[in-house]
Amino acid sequence: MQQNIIIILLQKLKSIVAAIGRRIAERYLRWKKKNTIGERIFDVCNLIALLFIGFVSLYPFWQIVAESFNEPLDAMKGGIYFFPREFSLIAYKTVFENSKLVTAFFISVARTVAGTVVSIIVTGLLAYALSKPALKGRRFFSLMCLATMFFSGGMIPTYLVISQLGLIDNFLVFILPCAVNVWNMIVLRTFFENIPVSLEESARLDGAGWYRIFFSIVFPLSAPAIATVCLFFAVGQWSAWFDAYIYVLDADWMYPMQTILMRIINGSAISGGDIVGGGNTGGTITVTADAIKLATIVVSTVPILCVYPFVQKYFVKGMLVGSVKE
Amino acid sequence: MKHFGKKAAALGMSVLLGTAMLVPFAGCKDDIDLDSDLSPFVQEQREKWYIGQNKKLSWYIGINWWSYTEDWVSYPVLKEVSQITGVIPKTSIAQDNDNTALKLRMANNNLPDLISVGVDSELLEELIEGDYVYSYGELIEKYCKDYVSMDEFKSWCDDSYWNYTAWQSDKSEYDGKIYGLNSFYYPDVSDLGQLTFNVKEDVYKAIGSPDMSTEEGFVAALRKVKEAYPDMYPLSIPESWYYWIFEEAFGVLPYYVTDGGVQMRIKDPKFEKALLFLRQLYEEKLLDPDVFIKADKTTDLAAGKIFCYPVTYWGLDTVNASLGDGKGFVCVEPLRGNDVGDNVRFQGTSRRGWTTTLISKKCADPEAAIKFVLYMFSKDGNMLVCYGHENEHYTITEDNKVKRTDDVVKQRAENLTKFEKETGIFTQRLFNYPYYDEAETQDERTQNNVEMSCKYCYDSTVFSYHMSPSSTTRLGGISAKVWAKYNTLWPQMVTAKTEEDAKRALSNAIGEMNALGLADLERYWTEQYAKNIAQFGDPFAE
Repeated sequence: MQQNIIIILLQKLKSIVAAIGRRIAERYLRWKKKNTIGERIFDVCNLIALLFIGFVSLYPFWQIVAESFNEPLDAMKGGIYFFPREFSLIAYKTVFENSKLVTAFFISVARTVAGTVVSIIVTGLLAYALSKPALKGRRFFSLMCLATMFFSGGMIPTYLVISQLGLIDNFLVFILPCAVNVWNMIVLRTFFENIPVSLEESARLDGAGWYRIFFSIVFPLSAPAIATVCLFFAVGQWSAWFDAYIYVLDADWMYPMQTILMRIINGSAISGGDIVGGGNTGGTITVTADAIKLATIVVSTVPILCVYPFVQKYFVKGMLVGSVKE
Repeated sequence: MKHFGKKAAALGMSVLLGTAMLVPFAGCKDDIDLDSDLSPFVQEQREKWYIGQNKKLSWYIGINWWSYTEDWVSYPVLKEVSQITGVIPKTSIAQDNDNTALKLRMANNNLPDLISVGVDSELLEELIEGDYVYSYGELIEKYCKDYVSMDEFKSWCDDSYWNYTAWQSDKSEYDGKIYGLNSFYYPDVSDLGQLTFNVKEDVYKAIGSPDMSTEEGFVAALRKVKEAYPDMYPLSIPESWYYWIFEEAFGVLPYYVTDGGVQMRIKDPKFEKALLFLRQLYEEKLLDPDVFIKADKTTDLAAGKIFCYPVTYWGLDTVNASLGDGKGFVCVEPLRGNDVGDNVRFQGTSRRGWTTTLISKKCADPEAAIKFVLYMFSKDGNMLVCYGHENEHYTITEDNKVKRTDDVVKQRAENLTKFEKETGIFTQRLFNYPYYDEAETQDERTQNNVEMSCKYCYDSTVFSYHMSPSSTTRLGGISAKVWAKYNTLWPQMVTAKTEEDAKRALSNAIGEMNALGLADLERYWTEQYAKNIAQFGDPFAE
């Protein structure tokens, strides 16, 4: 019975490989027929260059993943290139042993979702208003927004403002200060300017107000740009750790995942007896600071990587469309 | 099926997001019950040390590598501290080297109750002389007459401890007062050892365990290694200040002390000898030719590619664990160049610990703060936090030394993190004072390393305390430029093609540093060194 199953599976595999081979052969023959020699040479060189760039971009992350799953003391010796030499989950176990990581994960999810929603609405409304040539003082407001990209008050004045607004130890400190991003606003504004005015005029004739026009017509039509900007906001929120470090004083349950991971990385410097004094810490060393760093890179990056495939189809379109003014 | 899968994924995502959105609103925690189910030990200690019910203190720890980040009461012995005193500290830890969060809180005038900062941190001067913190004497006088008097407090420690704790200032209103207690202290100078010459044990034995304590013996051993192991680097040196051990082996101190004053160490004639020796090693390819390019030598060390590596005796623990038994590094008698002989001296570890803990003037309950600190620093507090319970976790030997039980030693050796989490022993030890000497419980290799490091160590506090001017001053700017120049030029001196080139490079380096304002800096060092000698004593006095 088992033998029959194996035979069937092998036959299936053979047919899949044959089908792939046939497709490759067909495409190659089609390509050979259509293109001149010069075009074929260009295609080959192009392919090699893109494969090289793709490899150079992907390989560092691949190597980090491979090394993070390697036994730490063995990984210290180097030579981990594509796959772990001695598979081990101890680095991840050490990272996930931190009891605050679970709460921190939910805080990160909460701030990413809430922060992105608030940011896209606020930034979108600002961009829409500034896309209207009829807006009085449009140039002035645009310049004011642009100026903030080059100048800022500095860390201490910002901190004092945050404190005076009562945002210290308050979840809203993750949402409100970064609700508007000028760069993203410019991308959206350019996109909104390209939406035909006639659509809005016809909506106005039907009695729609500005908000109705924005949320019912402009917003849905701007899906590529909105998705792109949402991704920028989401990545920014997910990666942020410094704001929690300086604005969360007593309510440490509010620390997002990145701040906890930063703590884990910093705290791992004491492992291996690197710092003694006041009595030898002793202890058998099973995990190294580098292994913990690699594990935290993977833990912090993988969730956001999972989101990318869902927005990829909007990403390129949104980047280009938002940047081109017709 | 596909439709069901999509629905399930959507439902799962909604549950996750819904839970996530609830978390920010669920942050309130009830007060912790510290008054029920008290052990006899706690009840006994409470009679003397109890401060009040549910006293909360915020505590900022300004060392970013501090790894004890769980809630205070989740560590059993620390929970007992809270049950004994009634105080529940809430710690927050620096995440960067610059203590940005603390500086912002200073600007915003909302400092935490307790502040632990590095003993050499520039913030210390700002906090003390900017009137941000209380002196301990002031608080003890005001609140602790019936708790612990000033005389009793001072009687707990060696007189020398107070020399290392009192603040040194040109302003009389701050000078000589105690503003903070240090994280640990070594009463005995001979316990300060840290720097050692380390060699790979198997290779060392294979070449006949030669004597490497003389210049000739050192070079001969490296040459043997190069011949027998061509793929190995006979010598490498660490990237941080630890490489000064080479210069110290030739009698060079952190500063060149003359009758005319304190000067930059490279002006010491012995420095030139050390430099030429290293240059010779580099020329013969006995020193790793890429030693100044590699940011980190860990991979080479763990791969067994380095024979000799001078560093702290504990700095190779992780590498040794990777290399395995018999193939790790052992300490050997240090190189003694320039006929220094047994007068060779290597800088000891800091006698003032890592941090000093201050009580801020923004503390809502300074009485609770000072009493809590006094308890933590007392013998009762120290023994509980650092060692646990007598007869359960440690014993006091007949010769009055503290000895951890075999079970504790075993548990710590097997899984230190688990032990710390389950007991809390030796975690928040920022008020450590050695009321007892420790009986040896370390393995033979570690004991040997400790002894080797302590053989020639000295107390270098006179060369470190306040010797770096504040970075916001003119002298601080000169100091930064001078040291940056030194760090750039030193590799050039070592890699010079000939001895003459090396000497010329050294002379040029001195010239360039003089041009940057080195003379002013040396005047500052001379003044400060004199003050340090007055406060801490001459480490080389007979």
